Amino acid sequence: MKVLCILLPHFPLGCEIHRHPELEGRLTLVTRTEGSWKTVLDFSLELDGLQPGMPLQEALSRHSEVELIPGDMPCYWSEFNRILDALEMKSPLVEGSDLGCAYIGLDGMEWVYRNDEELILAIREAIPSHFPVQLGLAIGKFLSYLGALNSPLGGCSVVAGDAGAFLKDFPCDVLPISWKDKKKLCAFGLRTLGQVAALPLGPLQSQFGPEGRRIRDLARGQDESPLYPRSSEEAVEENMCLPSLSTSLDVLLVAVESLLSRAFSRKCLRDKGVRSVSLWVRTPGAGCWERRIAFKEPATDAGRALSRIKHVLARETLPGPVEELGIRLGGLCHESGHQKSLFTDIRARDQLEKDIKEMEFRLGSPQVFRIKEVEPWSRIPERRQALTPSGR
Amino acid sequence: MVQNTGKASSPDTIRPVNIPELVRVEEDSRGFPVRLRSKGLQAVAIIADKWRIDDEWWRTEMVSRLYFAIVLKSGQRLVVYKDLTNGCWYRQSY
Repeated sequence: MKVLCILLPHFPLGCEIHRHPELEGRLTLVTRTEGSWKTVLDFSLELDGLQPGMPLQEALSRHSEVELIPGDMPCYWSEFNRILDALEMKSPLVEGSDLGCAYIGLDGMEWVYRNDEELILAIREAIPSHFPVQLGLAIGKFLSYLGALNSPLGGCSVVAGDAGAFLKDFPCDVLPISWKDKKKLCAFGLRTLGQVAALPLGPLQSQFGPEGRRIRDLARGQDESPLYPRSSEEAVEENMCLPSLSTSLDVLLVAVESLLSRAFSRKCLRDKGVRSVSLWVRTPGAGCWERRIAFKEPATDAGRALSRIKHVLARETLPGPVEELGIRLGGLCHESGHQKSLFTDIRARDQLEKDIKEMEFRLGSPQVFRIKEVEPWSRIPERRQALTPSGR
Repeated sequence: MVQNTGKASSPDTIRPVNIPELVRVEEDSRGFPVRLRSKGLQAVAIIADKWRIDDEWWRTEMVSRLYFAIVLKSGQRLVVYKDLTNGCWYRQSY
């Protein structure tokens, strides 16, 4: 399959520089935290010898005088998804499973674009100008990726002819394998793809298991992996900034409730339920925290979703005081059946909330507010209670 | 994909309650309130209590307040505080 690889080199750092232009020209390292494990996500071009996925400790031993920025994955993915959305307007077969690297299937595209140049021009138009882009055109994803790596910034490289000759001088670092396996290849003295391709299959499989065959096939330019186009999913997103930094669970729950109420009051969620909520929080200096919470039964209102989120949040440790948070409701489905409460007071409360929603729909903005205790123990009086829109 | 509203600061978001209200206070040499300008100039009859709050010192906008529970000549009881970071006086229920 003919594939075009669109590589946005140093994409996370590019997003950071776009948000904070003062970082331009400074030696910066974007980090990623997975549990207690910190790795390199991206780095400035001037920092040599670094690789994404490398343990942070190892990176700092090479370059100690760098500015560390905790990676903001929700922000990077949001930016990347916008680019993928724009690319989908050019071709229906778009894969974007890795941040900053997208593949486009070109089979059948000759009916839309007269030649490759026309297609490449259309692709470049879809990508914001502040992101440098490298393009590679080849048969298969891996070859097209290497083509993109080999092309100059803003250029496009077409890989045709003898794949083995093209691949042999590339370092093993370009293989899409784990950092651990790359180190292992290096420990065996295998530095280039040509050296790996020359090895028989048996020793590679005995050392790397099933991954050994893949490594050898890729090193020989044989890439049978299919293109996985993005599956579109309807989702509802909401976010808010807190009035002040907070570490209090009660404050977070009030904020989440407000976001959920706002999301469930939207027209697209009327008479619908959600199967999952992705909750993210942004903390100054400590990066982002994100958790996906799935529901056994679809949640059809803010109250049901909140009870599950409350349970999860109570067990979590956030990386620092929260300044911004957001939710993404996914798995939208229709309500299977909803039993009304037997108790009259609960039915009356539901009716009141319905009436408030109707009034706000007519008048356009929150009209009824509720006072909620958020930090009743606080020594600062204005932190003890908060005003939240009722029924939204 | 349903677009994110991106709403951040609007009446929709949570808002604090009991926000301090700026008042004009005349103080003596010790920094204690003697007169308060609220519906005319009113003298302070009694300072019933005094306490200090220092909090969130790790943030750029730290909280440092000197609270006074006062009784005015008219008999009205209220709580005022002096913000020690900017020197202004505020009235707030405690």
